[in-house]
Formats: sequence, C-alpha cells, structure tokens
Amino acid sequence: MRLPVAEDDLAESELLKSGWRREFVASEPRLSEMCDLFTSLGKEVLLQSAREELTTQDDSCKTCFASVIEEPFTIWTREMENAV
Amino acid sequence: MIFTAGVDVGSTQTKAVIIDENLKIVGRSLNDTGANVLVAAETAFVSALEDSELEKEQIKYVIGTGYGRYKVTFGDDQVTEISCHGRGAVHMFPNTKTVIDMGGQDTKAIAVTDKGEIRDFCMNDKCAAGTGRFLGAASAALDIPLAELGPTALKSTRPVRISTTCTVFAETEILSWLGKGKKIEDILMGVHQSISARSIGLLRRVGIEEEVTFTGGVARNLGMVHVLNENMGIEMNVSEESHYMGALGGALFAMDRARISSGVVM
Repeated sequence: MRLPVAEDDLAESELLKSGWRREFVASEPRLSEMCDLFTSLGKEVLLQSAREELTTQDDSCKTCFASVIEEPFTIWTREMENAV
Repeated sequence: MIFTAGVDVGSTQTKAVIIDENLKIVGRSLNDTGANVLVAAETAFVSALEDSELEKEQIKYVIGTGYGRYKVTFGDDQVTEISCHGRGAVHMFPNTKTVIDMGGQDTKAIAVTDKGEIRDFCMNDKCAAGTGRFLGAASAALDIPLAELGPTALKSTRPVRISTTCTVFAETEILSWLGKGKKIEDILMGVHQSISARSIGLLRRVGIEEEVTFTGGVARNLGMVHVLNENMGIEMNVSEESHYMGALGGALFAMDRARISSGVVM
C-alpha cells in the first residue's frame, strides 16, 4: 500500500482546524491494515511520523520506543467531504 | 453442502473455524502462534478440519485474518480482523452495536451496523500498554497461569491502584505492592481495573452503544468481564466462542464469496 505521508510537519492545531481527527499511533504491519480500513469507511487518511513524538516522552517510554524497528506513524483521518 | 473457513492468526494464538452453509460452526481449533506464523496457520486449519471430520478439498473458500493473515498462504483471500470481529460478533449476537476486542497485543473498539459492517473503530495508541499483554506481564510477575488471573482477581476485597499499564514496568510495580504486603488478589484486581479504564476510554471514542459484545482471547477472563461490566454499568455479551469471533467472521466472509462463486442468490 502507498502510504499518504504528510510532506510537511503540520502542527496539530492546523490539522484539527482543517477537519482532521487524530486516531492513534501505529507501525507496520498494523499500519497499512488500519489505513485500508479507514479508507474503506470513506475517510481521507494522512500519516505523520511519530518518531519525534515518541522520543520526547518520559525516559521509560523513550527507551522502549527506541527499540521499535518499524517506523511509527500518527494516523489522522477526516471525512471525504471535509477535504479541501 | 458448502463449507468455508476463517483462520485468525493472532500475535499470541491462532484460531480456525469451519462453518457449513447454515452458518453453523462445525469445526474449530486454537493453538499458540509461536515463532513460525505459517506453521501456526496450517496447524490451526488442519486441526479444525479434524474437528469437523472434513477434508481440505471440501472447504470451498478460506479467509485469512489477524496479525499474520498474509501467512495464510493456503487461503483464498484476506480480510482485516476488525471487519471479521465485527461480522462475527453481530452473527453471534445480532443486536450488537459496539464491539470490544481485546487480544494479546492490542485492544480495539469497534462500532458496527446491524449487518456487522464497520461504522467506526479505534485501537490502543502507541504501544501494548493496557492490552492482554499487560495481563501476560502480571501472570509472569506473580507466577500465576493466565487462566487463573480473572478468578483470583474476583476474590479481591481491597484492590490496589496500579499506576502503570506499561508492560515493561508491570513487574516492578506488582513486586513493589507484594513487598508492601498487599494480597495477590488485590493486586490483580488493580491490574484488571487499570486495563478496564484504558479500554473504556477507547470505547468512548467510538461511542458505547448497547448491546456491547466482548471478543478476543481476554474475553475468556471472567475478572475482565466483571470489571468492564461494572465500570460501564452494562452487561456485555460474552460467548463461549468469544476468542473464535475473528475466525468466525472470516468464515462468514468466506461463505459470502463461496456462495457468489457458486451462483447462490444471497
């Protein structure tokens, strides 16, 4: 699956203003499955790298996420009619 | 008679279900997934065939689902496990509007239509904290088999407050409570409460509309069922087949396709 990764690191507030809803952070192999499912529900999907978000957690989480091999992404969705 | 199968390859366990054209389960099996996902899928399918006393050639269509669904190489197609759990839950409990699926690595909240189609869903964020894996960590820390966690927790009279659902730190916190002289049942009830709080948060995101059906391996944990029911103030549907719900959904999708290919009007 070709993942719709955001080219610019858009601020959360901008995304929310544009009708996007933050879903959750996921990595492959779950990531593609979830994106497929959101698309099948008629939603537009946008992915943002969550690596930075995860590595700025507290120390315990940071250590744990450092061992994650697959790139983590935050899944954002919005209804197709909200698309600009 | 048309027979179809669903094989649900989960992170912890692999389940297979075979149904007949009356949509009745005629065979089922469950085995640990282990390191070789392909072998786990094949083993589950063969065991379900044995249970149903059918031959492989009699199975018209096989759907793979779950974490390792692409390893169901002998299958005809794959369907996402969220779709399969929704379909299976509505088949088993036709008034289902919301599904909570709690597995070994993740928890999903699913809103479904009357036909079992997905309306909305969400799953645990970032990591496996607060999922079945947390129960696994508690089981290891206390050296109590997974199957005994729920019944033990139900004996609790003064549950402790577990502050983390992180599987990495579960052992540290549990051992710390043991060191303070807390009873095992009270610690375990704290673990269940902690998972419940996180799961209900997920359910609220899609909306808790009754009837709610609890699926996945953790649905076999009576303590978890009790705590979720109590905290939501409802009585969830829980089937003896709860852990087979994804595989059942897969078999139902397989039956749709088998009927179409056989020219059966649905």
